Amino acid sequence: MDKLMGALADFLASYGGWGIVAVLVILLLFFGDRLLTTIESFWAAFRNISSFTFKRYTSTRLSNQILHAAKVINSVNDDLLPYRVKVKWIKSENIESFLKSGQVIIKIGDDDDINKSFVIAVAEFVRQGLMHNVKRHLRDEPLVQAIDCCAVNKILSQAYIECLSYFQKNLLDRLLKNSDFAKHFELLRQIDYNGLFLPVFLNELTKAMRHFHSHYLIEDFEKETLSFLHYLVNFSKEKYKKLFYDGKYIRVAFGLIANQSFISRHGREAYVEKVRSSLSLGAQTVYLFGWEDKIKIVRQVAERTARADMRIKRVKAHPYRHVFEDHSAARAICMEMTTLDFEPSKNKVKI
Amino acid sequence: MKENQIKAVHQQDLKKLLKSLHVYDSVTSNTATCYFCNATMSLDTIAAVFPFNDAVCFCCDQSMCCSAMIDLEQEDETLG
Repeated sequence: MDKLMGALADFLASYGGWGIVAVLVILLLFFGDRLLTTIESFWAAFRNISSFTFKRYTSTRLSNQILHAAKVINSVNDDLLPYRVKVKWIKSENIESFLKSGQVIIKIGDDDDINKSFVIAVAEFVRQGLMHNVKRHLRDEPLVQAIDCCAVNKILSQAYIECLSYFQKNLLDRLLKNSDFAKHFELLRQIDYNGLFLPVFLNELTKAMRHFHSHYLIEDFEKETLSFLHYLVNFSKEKYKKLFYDGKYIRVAFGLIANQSFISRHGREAYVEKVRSSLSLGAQTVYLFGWEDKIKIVRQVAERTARADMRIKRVKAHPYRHVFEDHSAARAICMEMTTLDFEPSKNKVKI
Repeated sequence: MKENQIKAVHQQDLKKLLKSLHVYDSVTSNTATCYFCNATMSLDTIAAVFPFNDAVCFCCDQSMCCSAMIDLEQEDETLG
């Protein structure tokens, strides 16, 4: 530690101001998240001094919490949510532009309001930003609401658990009184327990719409969205599962690595061949699942398949917690292997 | 990096905002009401201000109303 401090002191003495800049850049690159938390802590110490410091504290806190939570969602697909949220503090507004904007202005007062304000802010953030290019093709309002609420639930459970019970008790419970909303929300929750909501359902909807121009309404996309949702619900419930969904916009196949005797008898290569065969049948993406001690095998199968098959453009790991019917949970993984092009410059394998 | 925006007003700036939207007088004279529950609005009970049907509307700090406001935004976006 002494040597490090000495080396740092020598570096700063040699390079002066530029040395400080270089150190700050390195700190930001490697410890960016922690720095933001430190900034939040700094403003927290002074939040009651003035409205300026309170605003800085609230902005930083809200932004940090949503940034952290949105990372979880955006780790699946960059297009799902805007990566960063900015709180814009308003003191006055032109009435014409306010009426045209359609945007809510939330009042934030003291700390007692933070939970409620945060929940409203997250809900607004999701409403505006989540899969905007997908939701514009969905006319089923309870379905869109249910998707948003499931995403809000996920963000709050990842980032700010204190708000979760406020959200569930005060906002979600009211929405559940609508039977159409409740029906959709329950289906989404079921697939979420099986790791299918974020890395499969939302991911596939976003990927499907990536190649379409946003100006035109795609009439039959909503029908396929509902069909895909019901397929995923059946996939998570039934013992003998149908492993292929062959739609107009979404074509995916699934594999589950769970049977130890099969692995021992046939080895990992058998699973590699199953994945390749699914691609030959027309699947654009294959999802492989495994729990606990099978997680490593799933990753190995995905890695081998990506090396063996040039059709696979991207491999991505989505760790999650699988929730069983008895509400017990296990560490799990969903490996996504896709033939769809993203950015040609990106590396093929990302495990 | 993509960025999204949430608009917020601090309690201390609320009076100025309401004046700029020409609704301050209606709040202080107890004629402004919550769009959802019709409760009389005051500077303390306003949770949010939002535009709807070319008018400035208020949402009080009751959870039911906040929830209804989020629903309303969903409806507006679907129909629009």
